[in-house]
Amino acid sequence: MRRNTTIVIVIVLQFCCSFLFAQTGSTVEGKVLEEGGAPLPGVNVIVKGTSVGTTTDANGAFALSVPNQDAVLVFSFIGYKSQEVPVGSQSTFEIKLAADIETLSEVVVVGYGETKKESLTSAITSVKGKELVKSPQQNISNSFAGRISGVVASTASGEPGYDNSRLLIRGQSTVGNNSPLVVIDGVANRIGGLERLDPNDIESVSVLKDASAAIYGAQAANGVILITTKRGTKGKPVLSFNMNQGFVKPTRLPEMANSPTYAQILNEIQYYNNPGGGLNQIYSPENIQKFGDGSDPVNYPNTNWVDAVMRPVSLQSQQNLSLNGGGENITYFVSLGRRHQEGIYKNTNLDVEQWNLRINLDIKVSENFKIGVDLAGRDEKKVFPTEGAGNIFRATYRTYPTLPVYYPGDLPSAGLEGGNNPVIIATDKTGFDQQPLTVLNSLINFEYKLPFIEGLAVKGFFAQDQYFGSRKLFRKPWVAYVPNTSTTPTSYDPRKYGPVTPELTERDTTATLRTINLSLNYEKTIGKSFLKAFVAYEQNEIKGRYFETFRRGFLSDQIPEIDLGGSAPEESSNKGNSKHATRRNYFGRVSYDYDQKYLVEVQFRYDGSSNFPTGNEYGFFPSASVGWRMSEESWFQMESINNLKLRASYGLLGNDRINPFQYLNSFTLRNGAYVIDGTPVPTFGVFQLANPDITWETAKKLDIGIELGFLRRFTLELDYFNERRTDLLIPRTGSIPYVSGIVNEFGKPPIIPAENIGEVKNSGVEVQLGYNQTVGDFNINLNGNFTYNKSEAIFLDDAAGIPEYQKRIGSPLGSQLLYHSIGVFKTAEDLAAYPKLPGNQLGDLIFEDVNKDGQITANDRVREDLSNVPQIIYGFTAAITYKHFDLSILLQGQARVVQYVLPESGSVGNYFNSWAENRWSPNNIEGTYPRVDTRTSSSINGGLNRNDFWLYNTSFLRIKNVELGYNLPIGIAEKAKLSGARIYVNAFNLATFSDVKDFDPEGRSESAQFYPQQQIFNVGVNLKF
Amino acid sequence: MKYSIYVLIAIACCLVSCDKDFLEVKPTTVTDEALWKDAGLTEAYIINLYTGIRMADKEASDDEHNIGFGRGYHWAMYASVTDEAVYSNDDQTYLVQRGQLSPVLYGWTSTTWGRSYRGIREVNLALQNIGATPITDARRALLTAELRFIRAYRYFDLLKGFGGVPLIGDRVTTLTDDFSGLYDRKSINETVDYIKSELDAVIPILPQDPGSDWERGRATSTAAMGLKSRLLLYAASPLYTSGTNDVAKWQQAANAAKDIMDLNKFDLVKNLDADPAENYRKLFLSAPGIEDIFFREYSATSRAMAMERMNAPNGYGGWGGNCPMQNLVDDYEMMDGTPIDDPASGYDAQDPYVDRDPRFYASILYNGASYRGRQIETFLPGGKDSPAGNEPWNTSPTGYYLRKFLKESVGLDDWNNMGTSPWRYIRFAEILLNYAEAQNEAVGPDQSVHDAVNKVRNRAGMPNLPAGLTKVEMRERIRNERRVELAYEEHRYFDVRRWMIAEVVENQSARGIYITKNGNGTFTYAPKEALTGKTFAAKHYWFPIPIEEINASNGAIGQNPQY
Repeated sequence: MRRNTTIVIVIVLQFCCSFLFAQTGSTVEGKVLEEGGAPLPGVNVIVKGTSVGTTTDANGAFALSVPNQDAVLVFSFIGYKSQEVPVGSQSTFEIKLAADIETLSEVVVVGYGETKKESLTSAITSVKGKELVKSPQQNISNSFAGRISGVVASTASGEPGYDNSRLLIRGQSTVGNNSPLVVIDGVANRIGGLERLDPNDIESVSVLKDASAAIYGAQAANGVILITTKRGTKGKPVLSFNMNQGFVKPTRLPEMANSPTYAQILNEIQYYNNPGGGLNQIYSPENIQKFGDGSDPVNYPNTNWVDAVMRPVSLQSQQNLSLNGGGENITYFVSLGRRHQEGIYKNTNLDVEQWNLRINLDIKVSENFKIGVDLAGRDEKKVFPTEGAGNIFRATYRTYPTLPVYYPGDLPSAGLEGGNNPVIIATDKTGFDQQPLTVLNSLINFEYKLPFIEGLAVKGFFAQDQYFGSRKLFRKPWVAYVPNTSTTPTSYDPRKYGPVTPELTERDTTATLRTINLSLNYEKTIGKSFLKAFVAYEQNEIKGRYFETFRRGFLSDQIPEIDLGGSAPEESSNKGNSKHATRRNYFGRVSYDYDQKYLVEVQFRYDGSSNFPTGNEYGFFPSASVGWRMSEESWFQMESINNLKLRASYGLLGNDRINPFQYLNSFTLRNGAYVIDGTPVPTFGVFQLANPDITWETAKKLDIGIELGFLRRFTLELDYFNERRTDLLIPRTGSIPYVSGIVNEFGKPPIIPAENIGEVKNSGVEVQLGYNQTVGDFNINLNGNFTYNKSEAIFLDDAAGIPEYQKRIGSPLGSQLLYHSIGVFKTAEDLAAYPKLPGNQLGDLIFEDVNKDGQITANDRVREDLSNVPQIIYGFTAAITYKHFDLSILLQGQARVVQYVLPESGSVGNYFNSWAENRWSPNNIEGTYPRVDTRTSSSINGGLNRNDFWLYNTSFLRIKNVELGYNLPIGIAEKAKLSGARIYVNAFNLATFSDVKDFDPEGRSESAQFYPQQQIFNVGVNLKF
Repeated sequence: MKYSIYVLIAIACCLVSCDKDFLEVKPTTVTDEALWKDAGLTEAYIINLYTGIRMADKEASDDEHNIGFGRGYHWAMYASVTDEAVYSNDDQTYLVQRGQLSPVLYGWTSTTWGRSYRGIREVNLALQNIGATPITDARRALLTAELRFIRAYRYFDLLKGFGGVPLIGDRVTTLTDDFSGLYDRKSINETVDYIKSELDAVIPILPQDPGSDWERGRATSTAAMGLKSRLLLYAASPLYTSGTNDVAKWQQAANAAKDIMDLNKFDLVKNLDADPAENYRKLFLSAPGIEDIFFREYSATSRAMAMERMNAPNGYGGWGGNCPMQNLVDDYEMMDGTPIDDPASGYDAQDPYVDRDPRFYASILYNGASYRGRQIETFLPGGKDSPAGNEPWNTSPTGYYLRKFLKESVGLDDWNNMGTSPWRYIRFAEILLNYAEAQNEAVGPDQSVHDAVNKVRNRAGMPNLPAGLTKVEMRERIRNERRVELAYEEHRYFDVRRWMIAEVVENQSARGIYITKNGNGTFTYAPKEALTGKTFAAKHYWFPIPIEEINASNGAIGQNPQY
């Protein structure tokens, strides 16, 4: 109906025009071509200053009546630079439109507003939601890697539900919390976070990397990620349906030693523990032979536990249905999504399913008054085995290959210890761990243009978020079998493992966040000057609580409900607590530009937080930035350079992500820690000492950037950045002596409160290079980004007594203190030639005598110059379209990064084959790996003397993403009653090139016992109705 | 329309509450504002000081209800860093056994340093604040004495590990303090004197017995006297006096023990079983009684480690943890009181487990011992509790398993009931042996010395020591009596050091037994090395002070010799 109305209006207008200009007018015609010569259909051709116009047809041709020879034709098309052509005496035109590679008209979301990309004066990178959906990832934090310069996104685990990336903006600048502030639709710290948002709902992601983030004040120092969800657009309803089916494999799993090798290793360990007994104390050569030849698989198995536990491929899928449209007064975006992932283990109950719903409405109440109403909710149903992924992989990598999965008759073996046969504990035979959660986000915003002053508007929003999380962990005994060799033939006795009786833990967690914002905005153009400003007030309040209850002594494992548990006092327990935090903030911004050439922006924020004591709650965070679009100057006459902008920003930002109440002495309950009169009583211990002066960390950020467009097809963006983080909140653990009695407990939060004493420098460069060209039917878009940054501790409370080369000062954050291994003691001569540790023997690692004192002591440990946060990250995207096909490729990599990995091996667990095959032994004195030992964690070559032999270079280059799509030709689609249809296949983590072979280089587990990152192959369709 | 918009904006402004206290949030944890003003919370804080913090991976966590004084029950016990035991799973015991103990590699030994000083500060914090607590002055005096007892025990832990240490007094160090005043290590004598004077001060104040308002498990005057007895015995020993053999010190030590004996309050438990071996075994499983002077109790909801599971033989599904060495086994006399190396003892190395001290059977599981319904099988080939059995990495490296402290009525999978035996810090048998040792050194082996030792031996079903022992012979018998009677009770490590015999006994190899089952069902016994590389260096008489401490003080705290 509406379309018909429009057509009628156009027809009427055209009629009028023809009538008005009938006497002097004439018809012109022509063709619009792309620079390469291909016709451009759909280009708007308008007579300037009128509403007369048309669009080009499929061949790029147009015909149009013009009033007279003075008329000017305006040719415009999305993605191309508009062109104005005077009609003059010409009646036929051939117009070539230049691609607008800078997409200058792009609008970028910034803190509390948006701005045109060309007006930006700071380092903000934006990526569109449609890019993110190309990664078939259920967790969108994993789609950031490689796509956004300056953002380090690394995934430590691929476990469904726990597979989010650690996001770091321009690396690390504090030893405390480095996570950026996430703002979703203008609401900071939104409950539910960004990870599980539906990528189909995301319009754009902006990353504030420099002082532009200062508008978020005391929470901004680690950078800010702004997520904007899609909104309705005026027009007829468009119903879209997207779905894909993924096939998931681990990126990389270790190859473990096989039975004969491991049997030999056990022999060697026994030999080292009792050298008199020779090299066959446990297994004879015949035994080892049998392990190898498979002649007696019952008694001499050769089990590949990795294969036994994992399935070759697991499934995941996503569906999304959305409706977008709207009329004059109301536009709407409605979306419903579902996601499903299953676990990688065979027969597992690991299953993660999510349903999410979003309704974003925009209502024009009157000409001056608009409101927006957003409602979003999601429900995550997550079920896991009772053992976490760490334990399942621990059991998988440790369990001897010489043990069978099943004894004859499908009787599961007990595994290495405690009945932890990984094939069993990855299933629901041990119970289940349900972790469902519901998140509700609501937002109402308004904008009222004050009628009495033009350009003045009041805006505001009210947002209320709710979180309901719960956990139901039900553990029950299971049965595994142990051989009984006293019978002939060997029989297999059942044994019960796990808890003696079933036991149930239930936990409920709720949280609410309420944010209220009100601002006064002003916008004015005076001549060539443009002024935009606002002042705002915002407050938010977060409240949370949890309650947990536990019961054991269940008579049966059939009904896992709390009230069916045992009734004795020792069979139940419970706990709970709550939290409450508030913030109150005043802030504003003034932006000014003159003639779109000279750009200036000033921001301030006055931030108050309940984390700090009265009188210290408030801090002031100003910032300023300037830009100069040199290419807009009239004197700028370089043909080859079509855009040149210089910009710089500087500001003060804060990081207040610390535990609250550190300004008070606090005590913690220790439940039943001590028994008096035979009964345990609750006691209170010191939790933390007060630091009455505590305040936020302060970051001073400088960014100098240059944006360049050249040779029409290239764009270059270059940034230098430098951050000085002072008042770093660190506990003084290095210089406070134990005799003070201010001593931290192992594995607990420090009782020493954080003090604002640390200082860190972080600087680097970012480069983004783009290229865009259309050749014939090909459109090629290439983009590369590269970031180098290095943190350097200026002060971190090192103890005074340690040598310079051990201090953290001058080193990157997180770098470890390790011995340097320089080889293996291969021969008795080696043992005599090098300084060594007490107890060193043949096959041990030789450590470097760093201080040349002739012995190996603690002073020979050296602070490494790299950490597991990469100093170099890079990405490369290629997007190529050809007729109905589109292909996109994303490469991603990191460099100058290390990870310490010491597998849990010995007689306590199996070895990576890389070690097993290359181990030093009396029979292999050329071995490059140290000899085997009872357990690596307490080995002289391992945990006892942490050393860099176990430091892996985890640089890698990944083919992160490849997607090939095909758009159904319009005709075919229409026959199917569709307005558009696309089918695609894609792959995620298709290939990884790295020195590390035994585990995925993004892993951060020091034992490599983690759920591996995922390789996903995906097929999908997008349909538009 | 316009009007309603203004109303809306007005409402929005109201929502932005102008509440001035918006940023004032009440803490949800206990702060000192609350703690010291509440008598119950203050007592809960004081009781907490009977436990200490975890300083290293291999120490009790909250779930394991935290370490007390010394180390107590844990996966790896103190016995496993001495010539009593080898811990099959290492847990940082081998670095001590192999002489690798250093300021960097100190496992769970030197952690006493940090734990004790934290405990001391927290005692001082209570002493500083207790004045404000709403309690009676009498109660305040009692709690103050209790706090000083706990502090004295923390200092004793420091003394036995490190020798003379910095004395902090009542000072509550704060974050902004200049720490340099804390680095002055006092001499051993000064440290001993301080602990002694603190104990002397609280003995008259603390109640002798628990009562209606003084629960069992809290400090008593007799606990303070017991600690004083041990303190003075240590202080008189060669390591503490640089071998000067100060008779006056021995006499003081003897007197301190005698003071407890003279109370006629404590006695040795004999009524648990007619069989002396069973009586001795059950002693360690039962609730504190007439023999117990200071102890820590556990319960089903406040358990120590799963000691039963940890130490049971692998053939039963246990983890074969703290396995007795042959070195200890050989020090149990024959039942007639002769040492096994006495040619007249009748000891047969090929039938070694007959007619031994009853305490051997109560403390140690050996091949052929009856246990949980069958006999222990540590023999090869095929022994269920040998490397040929279940989970071979949990088998005993020595050929023996621990029996002492462990309840045999508790199923080895019954996690909720394991680790509930009390840990006895000080029991009367020790006091008798303290007396015997000190009196023998002070005046020689008089009748009172014989009586004290024999009382301990007789209770265990052992005959009297032979008459006419010389002072030196008596010394050796008392030392052996301590080794056997107090095995695994966290004495041996410190005893061999204070006697300065560690260089001998801790340099002997860690021995075990290799038992072969012959075709005819008989056994052949051969010695074996249970743990390679057992060594002791003179520097290991004292713990190393952790390198962190040396560094934090920039070397101002003096390291122990030779580290």
